[in-house]
Amino acid sequence: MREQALVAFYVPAVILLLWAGLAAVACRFAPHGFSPRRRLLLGLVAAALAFLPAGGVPLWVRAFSFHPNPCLPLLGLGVVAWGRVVLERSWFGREDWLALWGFGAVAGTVLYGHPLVATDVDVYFWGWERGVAASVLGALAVLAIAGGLRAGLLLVAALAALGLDALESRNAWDYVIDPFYWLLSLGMLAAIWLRAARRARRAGPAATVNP
Amino acid sequence: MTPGPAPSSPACRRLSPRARLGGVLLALGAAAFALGRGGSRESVAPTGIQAPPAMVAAAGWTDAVPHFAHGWVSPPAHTPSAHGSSLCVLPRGDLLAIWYGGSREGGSDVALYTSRLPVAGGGWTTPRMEMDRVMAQQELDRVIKKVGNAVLFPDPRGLLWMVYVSVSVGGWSGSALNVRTSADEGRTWSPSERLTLNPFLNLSSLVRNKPIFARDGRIGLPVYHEMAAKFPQMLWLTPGADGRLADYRVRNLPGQAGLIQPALVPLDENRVLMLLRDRSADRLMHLSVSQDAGWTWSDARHTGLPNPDAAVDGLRLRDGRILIVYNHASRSRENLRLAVSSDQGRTWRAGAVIEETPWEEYSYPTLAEDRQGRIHLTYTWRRERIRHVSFNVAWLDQRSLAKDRANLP
Repeated sequence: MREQALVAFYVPAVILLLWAGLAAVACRFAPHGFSPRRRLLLGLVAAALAFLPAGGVPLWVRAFSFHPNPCLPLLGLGVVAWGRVVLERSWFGREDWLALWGFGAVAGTVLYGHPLVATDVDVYFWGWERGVAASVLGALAVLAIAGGLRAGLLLVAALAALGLDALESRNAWDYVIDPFYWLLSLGMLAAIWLRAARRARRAGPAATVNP
Repeated sequence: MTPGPAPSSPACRRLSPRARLGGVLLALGAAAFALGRGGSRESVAPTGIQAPPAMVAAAGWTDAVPHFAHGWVSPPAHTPSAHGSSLCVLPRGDLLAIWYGGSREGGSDVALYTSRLPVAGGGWTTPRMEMDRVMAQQELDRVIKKVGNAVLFPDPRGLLWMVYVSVSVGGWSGSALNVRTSADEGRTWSPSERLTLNPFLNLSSLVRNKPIFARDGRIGLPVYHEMAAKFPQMLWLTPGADGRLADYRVRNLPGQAGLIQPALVPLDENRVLMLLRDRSADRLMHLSVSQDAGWTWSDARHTGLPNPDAAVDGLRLRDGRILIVYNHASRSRENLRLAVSSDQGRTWRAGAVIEETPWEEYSYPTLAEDRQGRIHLTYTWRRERIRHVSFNVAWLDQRSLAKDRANLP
């Protein structure tokens, strides 16, 4: 029963991410837009791809084998990306993106990095403490939403998914962070920092020449 | 993905005060929902472990005549390679062994096999295939490259548990653990359930040795992690009312870096000894002690015994001494020996040599004690077969004494 529920959650998630990816690629090759009908067609292609046997195993099974616990922020990013390329709607502002990348980078670095340092602190263990985890995540969600960030809703989704045991993992931290989201967050923060540094370098000489 | 549209866009504006209020209420509701659906969450140390056999042994146990016998669990040429046996005594008294065999370790044709030694007599039964890559793939809904180490143990309620390793990506360090249970002593099994024990794609959880049983029903299974950092962990399984797995959680043991394949020996109702395989260049068997039923552990210290990066196992004898089986070498697994400690692991007295042949391998021993007080040992014999040895304490003492007289190491 639980396995069926997991699959019922996982397969649409894979299709959605594939759809967003396909639509993003397609839009890149069609700079003047991509018709809504074709975008919907891509959804069907994504669904077909998810069940396409690759080496005798459907693609979604391969994804599930390697990454059975995609965190809710990553899936939320997939939904937001899907909204941007399929519906042409932007749900997140600059602060939302920054908050998401910042949260992913910090949470992932702490969670994945601390076992490499021999200390008595076992952060992953706290994820099994529903009281601790739900309180921490609830507080973060309240702070983010009270600050006006839509990204806080992804933490709400993570809490709801945790309550529903939607992922294979029973550990609360797996609902809010996974290695792909962590690496993506680090990459995006690095890109933002590089862009800002380049802009500052360009602005520097200009300010000297034209005070 | 890049940051959103221009700040002037309505989508970029922050949430309105009304939306914020709604969102905050939603967040509080979701947190309460997640808390409320918590189920049984055990997060404190067990109040004690169930008494080891010595403490409940029948009085008047008088097996004073030395006994030693040996035989084979796996038949000749059953599989080209056989390795990693685990052994348990079933509630009705039969012995059940599990191991993996196939063309080679890690091969895609490797399967888990069990064989039974009935208490009523007769030899080991013909091996039965319990799990292979294809079965695991079907039961777990994912790609499985290979299966490996498995342990079998009955819990105090009589339910038999099988915890086994499977790999979807990479080598053994990419392993994950799966659980099955049997209500009929291993004749039929529940479908496998995957355990998520590591945050990084659930990679690198392995098992080798038998568990301890807490008085509150929890099962403390020693497991270990091998990817990037190597360290032992304690996996706490909580059976539900129906006996099946209701909850679980794993604790890292940070003071034992570089040490894996923990083997547990209960000393009394609260104290547990952990023996560890050494993957460092020191090549020394280590031990750690828990004073709170396996919840927290002292930093590991070496035992003075060598360890050639090989598995060990231990057993508390009914008279309180600790028996271990190990490879007495720093570099090879070409011998298999017994040693006994009368002071809870502080010093060790050399026991019998079970195997010794240069350039051969005798490894992955596992010990169990049956109802009659006989000790059973299974181990990998030259990577070809699983061998079974049984003996009693009288034989053990006789051999130790002979060694003392001969002044052997």
